[in-house]
Amino acid sequence: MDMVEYSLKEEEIKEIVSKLESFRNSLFLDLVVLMDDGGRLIGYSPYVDGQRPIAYRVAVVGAATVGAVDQLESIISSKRHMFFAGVDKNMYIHVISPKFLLASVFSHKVPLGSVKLFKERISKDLASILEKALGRMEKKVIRFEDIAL
Amino acid sequence: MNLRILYHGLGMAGKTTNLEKLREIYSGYVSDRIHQQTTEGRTVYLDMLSLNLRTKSGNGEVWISLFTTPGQERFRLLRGWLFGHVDGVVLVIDSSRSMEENLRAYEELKEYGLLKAPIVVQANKRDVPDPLPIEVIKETFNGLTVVEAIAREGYGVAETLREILREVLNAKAPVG
Repeated sequence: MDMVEYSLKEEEIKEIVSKLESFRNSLFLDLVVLMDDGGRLIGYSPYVDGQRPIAYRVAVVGAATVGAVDQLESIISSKRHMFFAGVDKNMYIHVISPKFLLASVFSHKVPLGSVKLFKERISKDLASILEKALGRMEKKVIRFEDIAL
Repeated sequence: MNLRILYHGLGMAGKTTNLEKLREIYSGYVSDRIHQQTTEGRTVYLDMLSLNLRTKSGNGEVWISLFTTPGQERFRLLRGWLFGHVDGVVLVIDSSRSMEENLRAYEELKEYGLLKAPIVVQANKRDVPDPLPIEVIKETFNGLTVVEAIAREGYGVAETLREILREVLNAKAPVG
């Protein structure tokens, strides 16, 4: 059974989004998504409603892909990052910690080297916030009767 | 809140049909649908329906991701991730097949340590001639909620989802 092993406070989420925002702006990335290894969306930039379904999909498919590649570990050894070259855009996913992943989507004009270079700093910044959240259990309670279904 | 529900059962038990019907029934809540399939229409890895629900008060939000497991044996090695992040399980029983066969899917839940997660049993394909008796299914899964269904007609599909959601949310709520 999946236990959500972390819980982020409102101000921590704001801080994460702000860090994602500055990472995206400084490298001219199209989209940056932070997710956990189960594909749960934590934060994304640009933080606008229209991007949410796309960010959600990137989180699920990104984490699932990383999860699937785990099955190749005996062949390729441990994976730290993955790169997908699309026709219009590229995606780079890297493992921040065993629990958290960051996906960057960018056009071909953005050199992959710069994303790799700057990811170290954002990883460190995000890891320090995420580490604090680890071990805090989710406090939010929603009862079935409250759901409009 | 993010919840993940896994639909598991034998190949062709009706797992993807459940998701397709739910997509129709709750079309106003669908935020995404992913189905990675072979040219024969069999699920390879990702078969997901995502629903975005609000609480009645309007200030809470629940994202529900419904996944199915690929039924074919050769895709078994991709199940680790699917089984590893689960809040609740719907075990889809194919009433046209023997209980012995269906129990293989249940055994797999045991293998991945999922028996402690909330589980709802859906007795699907109740319209087949000479279906597996419902009493046998209830007796075998004694203590678990059993919902009768004909997924391809949409019968019992929403009821199954509501039951597993109720159990998952009750399991997460503090006692008292």
